[in-house]
Amino acid sequence: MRLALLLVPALLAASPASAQDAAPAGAPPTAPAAQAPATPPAPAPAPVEASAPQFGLQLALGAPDGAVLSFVWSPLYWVMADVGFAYTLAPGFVLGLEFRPIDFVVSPLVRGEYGYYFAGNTANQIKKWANVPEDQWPLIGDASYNWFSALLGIAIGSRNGFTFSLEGGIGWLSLNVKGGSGTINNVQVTTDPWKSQAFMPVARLSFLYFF
Amino acid sequence: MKRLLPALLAALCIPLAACNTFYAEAEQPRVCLTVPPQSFTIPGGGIVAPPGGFTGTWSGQVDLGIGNTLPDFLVNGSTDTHVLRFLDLEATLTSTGATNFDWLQNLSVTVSSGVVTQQLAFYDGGLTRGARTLTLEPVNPDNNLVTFLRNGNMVVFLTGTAAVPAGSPVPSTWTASITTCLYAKVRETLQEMTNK
Repeated sequence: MRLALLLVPALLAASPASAQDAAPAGAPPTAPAAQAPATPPAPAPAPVEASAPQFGLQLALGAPDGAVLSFVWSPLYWVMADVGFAYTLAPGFVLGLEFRPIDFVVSPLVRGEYGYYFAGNTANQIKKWANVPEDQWPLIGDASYNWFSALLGIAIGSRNGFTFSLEGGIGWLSLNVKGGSGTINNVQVTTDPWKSQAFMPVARLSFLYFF
Repeated sequence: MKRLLPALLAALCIPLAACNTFYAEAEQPRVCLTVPPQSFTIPGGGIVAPPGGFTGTWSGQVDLGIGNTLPDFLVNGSTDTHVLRFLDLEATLTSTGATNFDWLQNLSVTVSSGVVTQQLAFYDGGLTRGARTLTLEPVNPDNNLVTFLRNGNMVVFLTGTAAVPAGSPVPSTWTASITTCLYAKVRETLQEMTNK
């Protein structure tokens, strides 16, 4: 993959010139064109626009995303979909759909996102952030969370290389916590699974490379 | 390009200007607290009911243990942002004292703020004979009990009537394991959270 990344731009840059250079050299000695130097050169073929790459890799940092490494597919310049592995307090995944209406070095973008994080270290962090006394920790079981977000932002870069984007927006996060039980100060406590939800601002910074 | 900058600034301003719109809430649909067995004395009990039967009232109180067991952020705060509801109370007799609830005619469970008293549950008969467990449902399930918390704790008062027909033994005490189940919800805006 790394080799392909290095070779593709080099080949793209070298191909027009090398194609012109290679044509006489590669032509058979009996070709009519080679035997008639007086003949005016054939008109240059109309330039063919190289099709933009459709696939890319994206690294994003954000809240609540955390760090996300995504595979991007963009069949058309104005739309792209991505699926990525994410990690914050726990591993998870993020699905995104993004629209970039302008095919230019600078473009606004609109993005929708869904993320899900499996139970990992989230519950332990909740206990610490909320200052839950240690004897109450058994009451808080494993926690997972998911969210939807809508973002507006700006992308800067080339479709044939790196793109950097900065986005902000709103999100709806839902934290699902399993219950637990324990004895605290001679009181037996049992909690059902509980939920915490937040309507909140979200932000995201990403680097995208098409290949 | 001229339109991009205002659009971007507007997008960034939305979160900044909407601190009162953004919020977080936590909802615990059911948390049950079982306190150690509680004993209640029935005045005049410990005898065989005289001809004409025995009727007497008794009362007692139970600290639900909320303050020591539930996180502060969940239960302490104003009634605008915190909700605490009574779901049910279950009393199961232990081996000490009364062996069943046949003697129980009625029972009222109340909570008091010192100024206001509110009835949480009421029993007025209907248990099967020999029953050792009594479950009470809320009189008003929507009542918010946050105002009845005192330093994060809540004490409920039990008041009842014992009625025993002539010739039957009247228990002098009854001891029960008491489980109280509650609903809790807290909601705060981003502004409130950042002001703390």
